[in-house]
Amino acid sequence: MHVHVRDRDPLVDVRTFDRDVDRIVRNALGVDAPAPAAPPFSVTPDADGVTVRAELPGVDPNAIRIAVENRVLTLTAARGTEPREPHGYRLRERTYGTFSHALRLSDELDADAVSAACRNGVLSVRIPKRAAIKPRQIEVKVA
Amino acid sequence: MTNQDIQTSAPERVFRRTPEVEIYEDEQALFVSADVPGVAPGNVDVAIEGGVLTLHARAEHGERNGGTRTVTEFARRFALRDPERYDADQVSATLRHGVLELRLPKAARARRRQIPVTVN
Repeated sequence: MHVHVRDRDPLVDVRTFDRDVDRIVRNALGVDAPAPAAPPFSVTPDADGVTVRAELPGVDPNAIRIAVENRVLTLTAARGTEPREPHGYRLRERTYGTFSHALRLSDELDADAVSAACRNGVLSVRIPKRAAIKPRQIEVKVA
Repeated sequence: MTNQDIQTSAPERVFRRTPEVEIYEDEQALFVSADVPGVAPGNVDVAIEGGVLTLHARAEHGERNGGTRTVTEFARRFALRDPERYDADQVSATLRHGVLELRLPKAARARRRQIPVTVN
């Protein structure tokens, strides 16, 4: 990503400095690999189902659409810009627009039991496995 | 910040991230907004010291990986080119949908004055 920081900008990004300090500290501690960042989008299966996590900072939870059709789960969210004067921007790193992700649900998942919650800009969608089909006991009546 | 500051009794795995920001300026103030998804109100620290604006936010993800808590720490610093331009005591911060919004009002003398022109 390319970031423009012009001379007249009121703020100077210290990120490069921070990164260097971070690297020096890591080297000093003997930590070779940098800590991985938590991914902005993840699908995590467990014994009872699947959890989908999507980072959607700045997105109004009411503007998130979740649909299941033909066993395909679709998440759609849009982030809009504020109406501001373009010349007032000093730094813009964000991307705006529509986020969309489609997931095919395996047969063992219950497409009718999908639940979702959005908190602090993070969407969590839970898709449980189908309840196990219980063996039917057929009572034999004595005539 | 040292590692000791983020140690608690429960084992923690800390992920460090640099938040994406947007900086906007008008005649009244400088606006800095940073994407900090997962950060709850109260887990934000903003400071201006020695002409450096520091943003720090912490997102707690609950227990994973067999009892180890995972935490994301968002941190970013900016050096203010002209710290005197801003009224550091009047800085306000809000957190909404995982976005930290800061407003640094310009000191009264730094604002551009609008001088009405009277035509005789």
